[in-house]
Amino acid sequence: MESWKISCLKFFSILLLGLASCSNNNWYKKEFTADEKLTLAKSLLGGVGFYYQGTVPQQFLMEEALSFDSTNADIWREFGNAPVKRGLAVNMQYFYGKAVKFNPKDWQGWRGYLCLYFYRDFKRAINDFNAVDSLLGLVGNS
Amino acid sequence: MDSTISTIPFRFIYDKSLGLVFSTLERKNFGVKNELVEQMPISKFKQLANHHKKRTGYINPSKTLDQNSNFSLCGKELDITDYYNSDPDGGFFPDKRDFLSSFRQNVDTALFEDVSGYLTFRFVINCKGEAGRFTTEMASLDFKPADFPKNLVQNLFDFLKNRKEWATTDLNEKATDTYFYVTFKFNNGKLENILP
Repeated sequence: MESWKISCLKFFSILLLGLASCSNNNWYKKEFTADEKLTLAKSLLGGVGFYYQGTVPQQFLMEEALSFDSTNADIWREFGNAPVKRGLAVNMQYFYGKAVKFNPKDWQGWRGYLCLYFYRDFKRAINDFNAVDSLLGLVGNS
Repeated sequence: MDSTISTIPFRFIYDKSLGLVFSTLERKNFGVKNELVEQMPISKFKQLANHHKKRTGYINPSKTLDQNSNFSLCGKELDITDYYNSDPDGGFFPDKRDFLSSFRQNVDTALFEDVSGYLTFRFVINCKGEAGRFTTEMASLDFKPADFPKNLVQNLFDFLKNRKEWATTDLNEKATDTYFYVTFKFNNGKLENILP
């Protein structure tokens, strides 16, 4: 069973508790272990499909996920999705650059496809394809 | 109105000092778990809620190349969709080939002599197929922020806004306002491509 934490409900809870305890200066804040943070980041990322790409709630969800694990390539890649479809070339390359940095096996080939399809940048696309072939030990098979 | 008792199997867990700390929903195929992770003063909550964040690619109507035009949306601001939300896509009309042909007839190649990079115009096509709210995004061929000659930007803007009709994006068989973009890819003074 998958489970998701929904930010807006969290905020709602926070609001209720905040109002109920307005004279209390010792605000509760849960501390997570390193492993819990990694799990939470993945769990939060699992919820992005509930939102239209690039919307404010989706951005909040991804930012929260990133705050728990800034090395999760899938989150950076998701950040890059909306810019690539909207002609925001600089942002797209920045986010996909991060995704490739943290997980080239999964995302370098995909970035190559985007360079090919959205930007007709054949040289950059081939470089990415060759790089991922090397990483996967497929050199000479393409 | 009569009250309704929800049959959704939520579980709520309260702590004596903190109040609501957990809620869970467990169904056959999925589950939702909410957990209180942070309390804060209402002042900080309001500060966070006042974030001014916008959707990716939002075009601020007061910061466009054509802010004095008569362009208007058919629907609400929040209902502007994206060009790829229908089949066929919204955008070039009647097609990209006609757009390219018109570009060659109307835009002087001397304007982009020695120019390289991606010059993108983002704008809104309303339900009538009219374009407005033009903004620009500029990148070098290695995807770094870049500048383009003002004369070229102005001429391409004029060319785009003078196009009489654009293909609308249709949702549920109804034309809707939509975001679209046109990228001119220049390489050493040549128009290499028009995207998307």
